[in-house]
Amino acid sequence: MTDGKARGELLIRGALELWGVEPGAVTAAREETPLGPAWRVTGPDGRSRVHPSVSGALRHLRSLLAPGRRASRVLFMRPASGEPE
Amino acid sequence: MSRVIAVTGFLGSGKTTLLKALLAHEALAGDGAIVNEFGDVGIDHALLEAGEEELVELGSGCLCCAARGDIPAAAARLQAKRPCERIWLETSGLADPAPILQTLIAADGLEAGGLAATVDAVNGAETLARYPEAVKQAALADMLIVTKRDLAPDEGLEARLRALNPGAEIVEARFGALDPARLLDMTPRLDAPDGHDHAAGISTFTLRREAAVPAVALTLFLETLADAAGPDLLRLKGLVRIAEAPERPVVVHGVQHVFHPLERLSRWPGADRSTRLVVIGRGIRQDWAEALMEALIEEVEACSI
Repeated sequence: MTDGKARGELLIRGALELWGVEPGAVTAAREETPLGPAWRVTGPDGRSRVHPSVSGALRHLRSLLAPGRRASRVLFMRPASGEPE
Repeated sequence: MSRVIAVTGFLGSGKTTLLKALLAHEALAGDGAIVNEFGDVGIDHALLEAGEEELVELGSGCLCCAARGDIPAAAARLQAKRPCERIWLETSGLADPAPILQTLIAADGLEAGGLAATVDAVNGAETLARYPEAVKQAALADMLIVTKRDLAPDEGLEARLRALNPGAEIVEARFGALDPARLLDMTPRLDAPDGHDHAAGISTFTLRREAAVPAVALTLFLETLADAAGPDLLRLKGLVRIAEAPERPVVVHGVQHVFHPLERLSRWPGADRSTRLVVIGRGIRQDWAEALMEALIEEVEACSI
């Protein structure tokens, strides 16, 4: 697989395409922190935030770049057998 | 528990003809039927109920069928008249099958038995070109049934359907004639080639991974994919090799953001023990989804060290 920078760019590019947003001055890269790997997202305003997970980084990006876009939350419905495993 | 087999298809594509012919089979005697449109077709041995859709828009802006009661209510009325283990559900011609499938996943006492979509050989190509409802019906189906083939040659319709939904079996039904056994055991292919329909922007691809996936990474992946893709994630299904129990694959089956509970099989169904997840969506890049999964797996594994 790719290194952290290339993967970060791919994750941004794919998300922007999905959201129909033109590429802009947004970067995201995986970096090491004292508490482990994290994702630094820098928005169009130049401010950057560090997210411990790519999930949070993508949510942050969406809120910046596609605030009107509908997100979905996964719902797991009842067990098919009626009994939890 | 009633198993519900849904039949969808655009207006005039032959749903009712198909259903009428199916229900005339002796093997299906005693089956019930729910139609989403009032029709003039007499179905002698089957009970007929009409469900009217009640759509509830939730505060989140998410139109979630979990709150829709029309199908379970119609099924309950049907059962009250004559208990039946299997119900055939004919959707309206303009129906979006996603919330209907979600309802079947969510409803107590009902089991989703698959989705078949009829496509008219005469008008199908033009319908797919003009109506996004027809595209979604075909993209989400487990089986595609081409009707009226006797009236029109194949001029690219099957290729278009394969691009839209490479995982679905494509069969023909003339005047509704189709062996019901084929519909009773509809299972989506997990070895389907990737496909992309440029006109509709719908693509199908399979995420494959030999190494096992930590259970937490799988749920994080599903949540992040649903969050980012929103309504553009149409369907996701497959088997996952879970790190915590690699000999017992987990079945993943979701329609948009509503999923069956993750269920473990007692063993792998074949020699292939790799994770394979079929993703059907609009504008979702395969390399993006692969990178997302790998990134989340790395995060989880880093936390476990």
